Amino acid sequence: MAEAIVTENLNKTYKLGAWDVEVLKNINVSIEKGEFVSIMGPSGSGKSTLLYLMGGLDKPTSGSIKINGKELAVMGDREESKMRRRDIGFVFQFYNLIPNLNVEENICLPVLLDGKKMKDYKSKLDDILEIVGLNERRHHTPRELSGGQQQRVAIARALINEPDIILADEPIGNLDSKTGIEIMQLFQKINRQRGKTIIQVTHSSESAEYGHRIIHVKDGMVN
Amino acid sequence: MQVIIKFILRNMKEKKFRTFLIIFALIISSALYFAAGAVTKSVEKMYLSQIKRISGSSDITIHKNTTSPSPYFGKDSALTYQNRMEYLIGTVIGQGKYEYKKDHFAGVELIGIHYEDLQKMNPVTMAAQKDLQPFNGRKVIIGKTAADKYGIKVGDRIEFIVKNESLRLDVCAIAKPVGPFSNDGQTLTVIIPKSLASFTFSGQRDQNTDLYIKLKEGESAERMLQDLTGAYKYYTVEETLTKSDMEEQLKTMRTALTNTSLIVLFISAFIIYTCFKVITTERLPIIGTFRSIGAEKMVTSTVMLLESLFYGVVGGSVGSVLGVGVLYGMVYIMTSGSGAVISVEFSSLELLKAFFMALLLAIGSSLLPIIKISRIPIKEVVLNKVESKGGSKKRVHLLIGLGALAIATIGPRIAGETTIAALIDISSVVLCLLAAAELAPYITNLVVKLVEKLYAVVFGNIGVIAARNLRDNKAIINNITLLGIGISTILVINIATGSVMQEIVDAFAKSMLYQSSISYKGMEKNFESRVKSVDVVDDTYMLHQAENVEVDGTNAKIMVLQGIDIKKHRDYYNVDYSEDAEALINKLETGRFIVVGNVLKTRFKLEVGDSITIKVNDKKRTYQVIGFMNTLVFRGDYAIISEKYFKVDIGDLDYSTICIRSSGDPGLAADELKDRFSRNAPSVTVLNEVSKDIMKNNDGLFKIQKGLSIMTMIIGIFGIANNLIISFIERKRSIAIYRSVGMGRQQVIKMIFIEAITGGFIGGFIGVACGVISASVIPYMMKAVGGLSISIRYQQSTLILAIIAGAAITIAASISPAMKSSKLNIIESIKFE
Repeated sequence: MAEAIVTENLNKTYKLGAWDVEVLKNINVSIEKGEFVSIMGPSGSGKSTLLYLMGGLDKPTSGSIKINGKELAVMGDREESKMRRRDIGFVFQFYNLIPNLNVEENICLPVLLDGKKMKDYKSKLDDILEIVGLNERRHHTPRELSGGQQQRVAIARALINEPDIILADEPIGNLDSKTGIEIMQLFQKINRQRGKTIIQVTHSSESAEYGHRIIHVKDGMVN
Repeated sequence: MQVIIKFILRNMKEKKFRTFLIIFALIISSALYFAAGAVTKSVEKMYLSQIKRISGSSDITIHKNTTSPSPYFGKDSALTYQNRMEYLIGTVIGQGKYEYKKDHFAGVELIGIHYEDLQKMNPVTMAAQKDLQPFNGRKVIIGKTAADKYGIKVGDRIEFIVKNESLRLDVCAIAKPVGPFSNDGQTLTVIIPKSLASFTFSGQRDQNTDLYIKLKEGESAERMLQDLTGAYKYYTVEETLTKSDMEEQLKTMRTALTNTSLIVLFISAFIIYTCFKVITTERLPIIGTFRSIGAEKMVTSTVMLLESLFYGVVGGSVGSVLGVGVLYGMVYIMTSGSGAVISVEFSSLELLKAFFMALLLAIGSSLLPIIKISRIPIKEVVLNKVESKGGSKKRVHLLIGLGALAIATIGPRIAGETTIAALIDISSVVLCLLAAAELAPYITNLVVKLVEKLYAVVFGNIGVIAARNLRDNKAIINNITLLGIGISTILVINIATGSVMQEIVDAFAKSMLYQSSISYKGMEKNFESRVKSVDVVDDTYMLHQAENVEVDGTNAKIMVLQGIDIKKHRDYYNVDYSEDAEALINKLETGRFIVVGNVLKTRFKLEVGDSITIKVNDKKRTYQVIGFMNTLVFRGDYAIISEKYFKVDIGDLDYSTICIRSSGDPGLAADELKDRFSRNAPSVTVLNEVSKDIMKNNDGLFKIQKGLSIMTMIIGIFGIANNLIISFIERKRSIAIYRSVGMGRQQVIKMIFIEAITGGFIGGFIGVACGVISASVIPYMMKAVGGLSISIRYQQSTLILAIIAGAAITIAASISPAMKSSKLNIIESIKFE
């Protein structure tokens, strides 16, 4: 099977005051297309940093990341942004929706940023809203939605451009257990039915169980 | 409490720019509040010194009028009452010429007065002197401004031309520009010994043209006026300066400055309010933490109030000191080029008032946000579940905005000329600003809806996102409001000053259809044909003119009363009449009818059909008002009756003025007339010179107004910069979200600039709308304050320029946030703190 994401000798060091903190040390990970992978580890282990580096939201100190075979380091801002719009979908713990845009507009953001017309995506939007169960709420703004509903909007946004990869940072970390289960089931459905590669960062072993495999990160290293 | 104070102090230190902005807004507001108040006092003093330029400390003056047999008179009759006077001083004031360069003359006012009397009545300090005392013989004191201008030194001998004769005098002193010399930049004034002046002008010794009396403490001015009027029947006996005269002079200026100060305070309050809203929102989680571990609501609120008090104390102290500097600056601007001298006047009480204004502004503006957060339940604060409530609250703002707009628009129109009209008019301008602040979100949303489709075509999807970002974006809406208020302030002040200037020009250019006028005492009918025979003269119109005509039953006067030739008058005076002009003018001839200017209409509360009794030479004559003139001719303090009744009632058979239409340069024509009739020593007035003088006199006040409006805009721009930075801080996360879903750096920059341009245009549009509405109040305000009727004029290009300026300001202010936004660290910004 082809590889969706590959990291080689990945290192990340942060400056904390006068100190250099090594967050990730020599990470070599390979994730195949269609895989549902959970990254687990204690707080401060570097798991979220790894996810952000994979999504090109941060730059590594050294090492390389390849997304669908393309090296991230050689991409300029334009190409990298295009990749985030088309090849990757992000889902965050705190949903990260634009408060003054409604559900439809939030979902269609990657499409709009890609210069496409929203009306061309009408049927796809309907499908996705159906999948996430927010058909009735399409004209509401995020502040009029519950946490679970907001996370569904974030997932729908991650799906609208049909990316191959979905990166989720603690996607149910801010939700009650019932809603958490619903969201995880939704991820599983997306992975199975649509063949999307899903990489999630999680604390919870229950939610990690929804994936195919678990990558354990501790003290910046993959165990 | 100590730990909370420590927390807040650290916060202030960390948020240096915001702390600076709040303090800066307070500094500027208190400085301007102080300066605008104190400058009124200084200018009052300037007006007073101008009005009392010669009369100094005296209470009563006696001088000639149209009925006087001679301009010269003795002081014997006044000496009868000497025991009630502190002093009785006689002067001889006459005109002459000074040839400063071959064939170039400057008019000179020669004041003959005893040196001791001068120092008693109107003390003068000498900058240089030589053989000043005894001040007799052929000596002259000149002012320093004139001495510098013409290169005259103490000891020089200079020559004046008086009554076509040469008068050579030795300069014995050069005086500082105070008292009689305070107007030295505009007219050349010199002081010569009284006996020399009396002999030169009247041909006799001990004559006077003016007597000045200072009453002993406790003596009644009214009684003295009565006694002296009896003694000097054919002369005018009046108070040198009545309180009502002074009030009249200062009313317009006070209103203008109060208006501007109010706007400055309003804009500062808005900035501080928005800053505190952000401060309180930012600190909400920490305050929640303090409250959750036992800090009382009272304690957290008090500490925050103490913070605003601190800002107030710092801003007020620095602002008051800076205010003194601003005051000096204002005074400098007002006097530069005019030659007038104002000493800066202020009291420590005014400084204290400005200081307390800063405290009040700081606490008042921060109170609302502090009260708001103190009402939020701790649980919601701690769990970060505080949501802004929409719905009914939004409607309240809409209603307040519409209500304020309605009152601002309708109020002045229904207030008419009631006693509270001026107050209503001033409030309307402030209400208009309030309306702008309250309606800005609705206007923004409306505009966004309208432009969304256009933006999609012009800017693509980024344009649509930018337009949608403007909806309900508080920071951007605050910017739009600040911009709107700033632009409207500048516009309204520019429109007002421009309109007044234009009215003045029009009053001369369009209303007085002649170039110059000539008059001299004892003018005869045949003088008109002599004037007509001069080459440069095309046509003439002789009319009667009496000045300062008393109105029975009031203390007020009519500045100019003309007896007109009904056939010719309208060819020379083109003013707006309230009724059909021809019918009105013709009716004047048929009886004791009068047409009065609008200022007189307001002053005497007249309506058509009312009667007005004028008092001339102890005779009272009642005229019926048949109409009004809407004009700035003679500042609107002007009335006309027919020539026939003027002759009968005023009794002056001499034609007092000849209006002249001439070809070529009116200045040269005037010179020729002066030369030709120099034996009659006529007074020749060139209209465009008078118009220029008036403009020059108003220029200082206009400059101050413009300066204040620019300061308001500067505060506004600082507010905008603050808002953009706050907006950047607030939006860092949403920009990071955009970036996380694939927005490129260029797209971020494009989005921020589209938002800025749109916000700028909307702000500019609000500013223009608010400016135009506020400007429409000005005619009512001018009418209520000074009885003047002016119409508002502005060019559409100015309005378009204002809107473009709005966009330019927001674009400039967006450069830094746009650059920062494009470079921000997505991870750091996206994390929920």
